Amino acid sequence: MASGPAAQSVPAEDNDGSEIGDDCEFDGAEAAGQEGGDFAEPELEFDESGLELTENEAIPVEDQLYFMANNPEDDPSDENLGAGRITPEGYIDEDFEDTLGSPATEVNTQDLVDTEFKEISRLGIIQVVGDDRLGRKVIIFSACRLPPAENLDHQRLLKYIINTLSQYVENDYVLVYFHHGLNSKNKPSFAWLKQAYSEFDRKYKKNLKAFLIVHPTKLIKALYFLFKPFISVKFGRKLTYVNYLADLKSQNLYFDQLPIPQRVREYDDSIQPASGNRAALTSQYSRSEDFAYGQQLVANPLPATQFGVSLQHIKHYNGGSVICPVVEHTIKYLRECCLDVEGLFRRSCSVAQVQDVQEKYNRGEYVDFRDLGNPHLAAVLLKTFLRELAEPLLTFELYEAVIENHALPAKTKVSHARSLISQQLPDDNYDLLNYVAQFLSEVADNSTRNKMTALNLGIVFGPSLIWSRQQASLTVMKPINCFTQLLILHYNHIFVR
Amino acid sequence: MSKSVSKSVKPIKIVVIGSGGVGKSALTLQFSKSKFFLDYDPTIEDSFSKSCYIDNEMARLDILDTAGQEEFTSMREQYMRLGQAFLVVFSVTDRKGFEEVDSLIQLIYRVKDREAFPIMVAGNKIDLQNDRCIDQSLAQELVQRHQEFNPYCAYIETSAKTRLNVDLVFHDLVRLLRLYNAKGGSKQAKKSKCSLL
Repeated sequence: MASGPAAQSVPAEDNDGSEIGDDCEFDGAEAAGQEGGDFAEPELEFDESGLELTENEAIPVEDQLYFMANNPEDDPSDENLGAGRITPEGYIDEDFEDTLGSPATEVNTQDLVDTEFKEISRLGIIQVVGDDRLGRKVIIFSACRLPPAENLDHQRLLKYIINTLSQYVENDYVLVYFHHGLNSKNKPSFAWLKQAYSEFDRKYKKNLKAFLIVHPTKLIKALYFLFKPFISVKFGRKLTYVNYLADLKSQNLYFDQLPIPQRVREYDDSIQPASGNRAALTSQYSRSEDFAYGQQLVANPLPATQFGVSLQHIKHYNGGSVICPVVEHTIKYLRECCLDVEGLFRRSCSVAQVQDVQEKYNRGEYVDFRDLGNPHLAAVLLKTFLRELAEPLLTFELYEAVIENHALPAKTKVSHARSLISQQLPDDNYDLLNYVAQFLSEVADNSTRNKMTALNLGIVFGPSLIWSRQQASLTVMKPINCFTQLLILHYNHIFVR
Repeated sequence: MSKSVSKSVKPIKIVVIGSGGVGKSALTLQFSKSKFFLDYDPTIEDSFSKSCYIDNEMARLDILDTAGQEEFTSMREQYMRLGQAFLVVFSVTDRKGFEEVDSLIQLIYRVKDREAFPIMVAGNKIDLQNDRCIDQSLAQELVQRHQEFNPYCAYIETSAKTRLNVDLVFHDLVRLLRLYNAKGGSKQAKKSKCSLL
């Protein structure tokens, strides 16, 4: 029904919405006297708070987004926003600056805290070590690094802990506590623990998603058992005892990146059971983990398998060529029939259908895309093939260099990319990438019809060509996409081997 | 209104999700800037904010517009963690996008570890009546299935191009969130005793 905005206003500035982390700000006069139309019915039945739709009055508001504020270099410049502005109502907004800039300062909060509590931060009792596999911040507390009680101002320690934690507790986090090394000398007093407990309010507890106690002693377990009636079931579920360091690997952590104190490692070695039984179990564990995360690798690939294997495997079973059937078929089909399909490589496709065709290829069956008649299926399949390679086509080795390319001056970007691709990339990777990039440049040549310019293709194809061994993050997306765009745009200059 | 009001209101984090090319950005931009953009750039991630009065109550919306392509799914859970309310968009002209709606909603429940959460499902591009392949009843059915256990879920048909229901879909999402906070939210906010361990 009437969704007529009574006083639609067009914002004064024209913002480019395609930038990453584009923090926009609007003074849009939003006067939408709407009435629940036909489509609004479903929600009426449970809206008891009175859905009288009122005239929505507009107010000019200045806002700064805090979402994913880890992208300060992409923020629109403050100067643009700083000036007073006249809104459609003639309201003049004078002190914008107040609300600006908080994300930028946030980045350095930890530095500030560290400077303020220098003597404590250098002990490394508490370390924030980045994200785990689920994107949660990991915070490590090492008891063995606590100095003897008389040498430490516990009040300041508590403040330091609170200041450090408070930056992260707004989102989910994981606490890893290395208990080994706590002794009667460096043990904080019970009163301090009680105080600490009372200072951590609900927000600290709510977003704590897992609490791993490494090398728990019998005392801890006994205490926990004693207090169990008073502890919420929810908290009990978050608590995990980790008896051996190797067991940490099953906890969604990037085990290799954890700064585990040397003393804890030594202790761990000393308590490992002598029998090979345990070791065998552990190694089995870690191996299965390698497969379970990141890439879904095929454990024992059949000769025909093309998804989730290495280029070497493909080459070996494909008569010495890395251009395997799935790449050849999809590109041939797309090139012949689909260059004018709008949103090629952008649109998604039914997951079930993709898996179905994947399995067919892995069994070595022939797939005729003309029969299937779905350009997006072929496009998604090609991207999936690249993304499921054991190693990204641009290799882990060149990952850093690819990211750095983004920061180079415009003039040298192409020559840098040329040396990376045509000189440093292994032959097999070069052959396949060359094959794919040439096709992508053809797609871009038809962008008037398919709307997929090199820029667009870079965005949707980049993540399939290169990824890091670590957790994916949005900050590297732009460099990756720009590099891919470069490969497509300057195909003739970059692929010269 | 005085600015102190706008500052004192806590922003609501809305995350817009959906399959690639269904019009998430068009919807978000139409709502926040009152413009229909013809650009065809795939989004990686954009964020916008906007304040408005909904049912006489001030609301500050922080809207996160996300990527629909499956390449970016690794990041999906990350931003889902941040969202307080979700707008799941599909295009009534695109079967694939519709098929993904259910799994996206399931993912929200999983990431949020809740059985109910404020979710608006938007069937976009209804101005393209001739290309339509998803019936209104089909989408209603899907949402009704979810409503059995999630009362904070609703369906609206929109057109970012003609601005049909664009405001309504965001406003109703805020209403759902308010309801959720008033009722379901209070349930989970029950004080839970925690241990010093």
